[in-house]
Amino acid sequence: MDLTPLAVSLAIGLGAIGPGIGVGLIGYKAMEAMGRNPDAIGTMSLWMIIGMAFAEAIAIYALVVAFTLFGKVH
Amino acid sequence: MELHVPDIKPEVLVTFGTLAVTNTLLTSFIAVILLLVGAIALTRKMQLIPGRRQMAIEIVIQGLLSLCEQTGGQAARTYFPLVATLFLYILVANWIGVVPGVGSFHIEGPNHTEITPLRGANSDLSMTLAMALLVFLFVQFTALKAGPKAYIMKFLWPPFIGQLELISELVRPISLSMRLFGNIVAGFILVEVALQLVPAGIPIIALFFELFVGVIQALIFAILAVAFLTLAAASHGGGAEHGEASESHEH
Repeated sequence: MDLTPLAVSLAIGLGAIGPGIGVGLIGYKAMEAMGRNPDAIGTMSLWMIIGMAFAEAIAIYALVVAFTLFGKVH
Repeated sequence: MELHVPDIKPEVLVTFGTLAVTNTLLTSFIAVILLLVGAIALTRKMQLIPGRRQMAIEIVIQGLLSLCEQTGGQAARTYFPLVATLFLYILVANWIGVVPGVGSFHIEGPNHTEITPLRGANSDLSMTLAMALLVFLFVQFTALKAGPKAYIMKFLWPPFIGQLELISELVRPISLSMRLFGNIVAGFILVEVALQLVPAGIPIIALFFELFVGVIQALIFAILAVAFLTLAAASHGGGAEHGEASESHEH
C-alpha cells in the first residue's frame, strides 16, 4: 500500500499549522503596536513584512518537501 | 483531465560536456546582461547634481545603503557591495520570472517533447544554494579575520551548546537557499497550475503576488546577509546591535 500521496498531503498540511499561527501572531502584535503609535506605522510595516517572511519560510520548507515527494509519486 | 504540474527541477536544454545549460541558467544570463546594460546606461556621464536617470538609481542605492546601516550599524558599509549586488540580482532574476511567457511558453522539441526555454532563475536550487554558500564563505572569512581562536572555541566549548552552535551555523546556508527557492518555485507552480484549473482571474492575481514576493525575498536575503556578516565581525556575538542579533537565531 503506497502511502506517498498521504505523505504529500500531511507534509504541507501539518507543516503549515505552525507558521500560520506564527504569522497571525506577528500581525496581531503589529496591529496593536500600530494602533498605539500611528506615527511609526511606516517603519513598523516594513519590519512586520520582514518578520512574516521569516515565519513563512518554515511553511515553505514543508512545501518543498511536499513538492519533492509529489515528484516521486508522478 | 491531465494536470501538468511542472517539476521543481529545471529542464536541461543543452549539455556542453559536463556543463548542463538549464532554462534557469539561460534566464540568469539574461538577468546579468540586463543588469550590466542598466548599470552602464544609468551611470553614463555622472554629474554631481544628478539628472533624472542618475537620480533613479541613486534612490535605489541610497535606500539599500540606509537599510544596510539600519541592520548592521556604521560598520556594515563594508559589506554593502556584496549585499547590494545580491539584492539587485535576486530582484531582477525574480522579476524576469514574472514576465509573461517565462515558464509558460513551450516550444516543440525533438521526439515531440515540450521544452520550456525560459524559467525564473531562482526557481533552481543550484542558483540559490550557490548564493547562500557564497554568503556562508564570506561569513566564515569575516569571522576568522575578526578573531580566529575565539571563533573556533565558540564551537567547541561549552560541550553541548558548542555543537548546537556548529549545527546552527551549518544550517544557515540551507535555510537561506531553501527560503528563496521555496518561495519562487511555489509561486511559479501556483501560476502554472492556476492557468490549467482556473484560467480566468486567478493566474493574474498570482502573478502580481509573485512580483511582491520577489521584492520581499530579495530584501530578506540581503538583510540576512548583512545581519550574519555583522554578527560574524563582532567578536563572538558580543555587543548586540540594538536587537538585530535576535534575528540571526531564526532557522
